[in-house]
Order: sequence, then C-alpha cells, then structure tokens
Amino acid sequence: MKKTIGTVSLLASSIAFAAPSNDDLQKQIDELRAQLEATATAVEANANTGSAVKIGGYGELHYNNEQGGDNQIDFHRFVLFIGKELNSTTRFFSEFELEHSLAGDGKPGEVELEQAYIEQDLNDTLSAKYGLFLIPVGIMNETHEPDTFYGVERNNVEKNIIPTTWWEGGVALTGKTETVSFDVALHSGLNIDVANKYKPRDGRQKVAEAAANDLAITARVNYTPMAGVTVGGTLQYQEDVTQGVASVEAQLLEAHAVVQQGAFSARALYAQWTFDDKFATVTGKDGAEKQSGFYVEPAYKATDTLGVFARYSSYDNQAGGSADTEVNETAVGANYWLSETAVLKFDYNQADKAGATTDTLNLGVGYSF
Amino acid sequence: MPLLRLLCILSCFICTASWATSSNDFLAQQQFDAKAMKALWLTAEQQAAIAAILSHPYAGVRIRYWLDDDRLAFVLNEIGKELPITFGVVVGPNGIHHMDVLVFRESRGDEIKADGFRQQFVHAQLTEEGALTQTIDGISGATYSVRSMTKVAKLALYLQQQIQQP
Repeated sequence: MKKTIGTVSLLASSIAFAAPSNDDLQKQIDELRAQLEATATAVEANANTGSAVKIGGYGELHYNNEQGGDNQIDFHRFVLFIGKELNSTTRFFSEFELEHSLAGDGKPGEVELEQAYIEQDLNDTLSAKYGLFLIPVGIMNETHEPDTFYGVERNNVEKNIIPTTWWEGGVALTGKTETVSFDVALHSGLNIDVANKYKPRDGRQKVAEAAANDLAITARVNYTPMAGVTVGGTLQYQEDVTQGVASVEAQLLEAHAVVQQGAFSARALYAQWTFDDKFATVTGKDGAEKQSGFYVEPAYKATDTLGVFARYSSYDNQAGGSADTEVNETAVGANYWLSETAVLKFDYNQADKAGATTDTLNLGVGYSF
Repeated sequence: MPLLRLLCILSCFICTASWATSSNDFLAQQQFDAKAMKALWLTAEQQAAIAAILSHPYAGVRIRYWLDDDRLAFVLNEIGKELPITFGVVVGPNGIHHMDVLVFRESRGDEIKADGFRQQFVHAQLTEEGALTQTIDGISGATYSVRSMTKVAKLALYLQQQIQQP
C-alpha cells in the first residue's frame, strides 16, 4: 500500500512538473502564430505575379475544305507571349510566332517577332510605347486570339485592306479618359515593290532590316459612350510607300463600330487606302490607286459556350478601276467554347469574284492562355 | 502649328499627375480603416471553390479583408492577358457596392476603369450556379480584362458568403 501511494505520488508530481504553464502555452501559441504568418507571407511573396516573367500564348489549327479545290490542314499559328513588369510604371511585352508549323527555305512557315516593346506609364491617363508594336487600326489588328472572334480564318477585309496583322517599329503615345482614347504613333512604313506588288499587305516590312527612308504616322480615336459600345477610326499617312523608288503618297482611312449588349454582338468596319494617282501606272494594276472594303458581322451567344454568327464582306484591291475585281463573301458559322479560352470553330464561306463562286467549309480549334 | 496644338493637348494629359491608386487610398476613399485588416485562412474546400471561380488555383493560403459594419472590402489580383490587374471591391448586404481598378498593368484593355463600365457590377450578387445576377456587357479589345474583373466580382461575393455566412 505504501509502495502504491508512493508510486502514485511520484507519478503525480512528475505530471505536475511536465505540464506547461498557461504563460508557456501562450508563448508557444504566439511563436506558432508568428511562424504561420511568416510562412503565409513567404507563400504570397512567391506567388506575387507582379515581378515574375509572364508567359502566355495562343494557337490555332485550321482545316479548309474548298469545294472543287484542294483541301488543307494547317497549324496556322503558334504564338508565345513573354512579358515582365520592370517596375511599377514600366513593362516589357513581346510576341513570338511560328506560322504554318515549319519555317525555313522552301518551307511554308515563318518565324516572326510580332511585338517587342517597352511601355511606360507617364501618368494615369497617358502611356508611351517604344519598340515594335501592333499598329492601332481596325478591330482585329491588336486583339486576334482565336477565342475572341468568330470564323476560323481572320476576315478578309482586315487581312487584305488594312492589312491585319500589321506591326511596325517606332514610338507611340496612348491617352485615355472615361470615354475616349487616342493613339498617335510615328513608325516605320510600308515598302511596296511596285514592279511586282500592289497590295498594302505585300508592303509590310515587319521591322526586318526595314527601309526607313519614309516613315508613317498613325492616329486613332476610340469612343465608348456606354458599356458595350465602341466606335472608332484610324488615319494613317505615309509620304512614299515605295521608300524612295517611285514617290507614291498614301493615306489609310478606317472606321469601325463594335456593339455588345447581352447575348447579342455586332461588328462593322470600313477601310480605304488612297494612293497617288500614278500608283496604277507604276504597278500596272488598273484601279489600284484606291483599295477598300467593309464587313458587317452580327453574332448571338446562345449559351455561355455556344455562339453563332453571320458575316457579309466586300473588298477590292483595285477599287479605282472599271474591271470587276471586287470580292463579295458571305459566311455563317459557330464557336463552341470548351473553356474560357479554348474554342472549336466552324464556318461556311461563299466567295464571289468576277462571276465565279467558291464555297469553303472551315473547321478550327483555337486556344489562348 | 498643328503639332504645337497637339503637344498642348497632350500636356493636359501629362499634367494630370495621378498614379495608380494604392490599396490604402482605396480603403480610405471607401471609409475603411486600413489598419483593421483581417484574414480568412482558406480551407481546402474554399481553395477548391476559389479555383473553380478563377479557373486556376489561388496562389495563397489566406485572403485579407477589411470590415466596416456590414460591408467588406477586398484588394484582389487577377491576371488579365499576361500581367495581373489589381482590383478593389466593396461588398455589402445588397451585393457589390463598389468596384475599382487600382493598378492596371496590361498594354490594352484598361477601358474597364471607366465608371460606366464598373457601374455594371453594382448590386450584382451570385446566383445559385455561381454566376453574377447582372449581365456585364464587354468592351471591344478588352476581352481578357473584362473576364478578369468578372471573376474578381464573383470571388468577392463568394468570400462575403464565407466570412459573413459561414
């Protein structure tokens, strides 16, 4: 009995000796809290996406089934964005692209630097760009990820007239208020080899050892009077689009409207190039001194994942002449979004040119991240 | 002379010497005490719900918030196209009370800062399916920014449910 009591007493006193006091417990809790705070802060610091290099991109695969012609499947674009915030007011943006899967001699593709510029905030309403940037014109020239537009291919009006996608090297200023934004840019210009070419698209130099004897100036204004409505336009002037060879002056006028109200949206655009009168003579293309086009595209997003559209376009790269060189296209189709930025696309396009009709069924898959 | 006029117009923008809104300025404007910050430590279930809202995992273990009576304020970051946009959101009993763009780092799409656009979010609440009760009309050329802002609005409303109706 005495042995038992003694054992129990010894045990009790041992337990009493090992049990921490309330002060000790509070101290441990405080230490743990501090460690937890430090851990959370470290996790958040690592996750601070403001200072790390950012990688993004987009891509699209197209299948074109031309009735009565050759069909084709093509990974049209594989694009990577690399960007970084250099400090709180200065950022670097770039876009690197591989077109048609294979580039090199005899291969169908191209490797291109489509954007590479520094952007700096001068204040809350004004910023500047220095480098290689997309020309502020049209609806699709600056925003053309496949999940942001209808139709498998980019529309032929912006492609053949503006010409989207179009980038140059230079400097630009962008200013914004509540409802109005403007861009003014001084940049490298087109260089059209008039002996062999006449379309603006063929004059893009892509800032690749580009001739800079004649620069161009571009100005754009966009007006957003209410949520979901934007109207805008661009003017561009270049004193000589032949860079000293034939002295051909050129102006581009472009106007557009984009409406989104609930499930309904619509786009409309008109673009016109006016070249020096002698352009037709020096290129040998009657009517090429005026090149213009327009399109109208209503769309309806029936659900969060399914949208349908229709588009009527008309463009003419020899609009100043009397020959029937106009191309009229009617397209209908649908987009099905697999996720926010991945989309399956379908469209049926009928193109009429000089009395001949070409029907094409297009299928595509596109993504951005 | 036209160039001189253009420079004068541009100088008006340059002289508007305001920079991105700091979190403290936002909280002060919305009448919150910046020092009275609280934190919601995220459970696994909350992390999963937030990942579903953002369409990607949330890179943090807690979310800071400020409380003033029955209103909550959050400062939340979400990627636009390539870089994060910092938003300030105030939610109250009737849904979103105020949405602000504190720091815009993208090259395009900052039309979402316009008052007319942000007003679309006021009084928005969450449906049972997790969508906003109000339609948000987009902006041409700002698809990614609009998407980010919509996600942040949903996130703030979800966090309100977790904090005030646990």
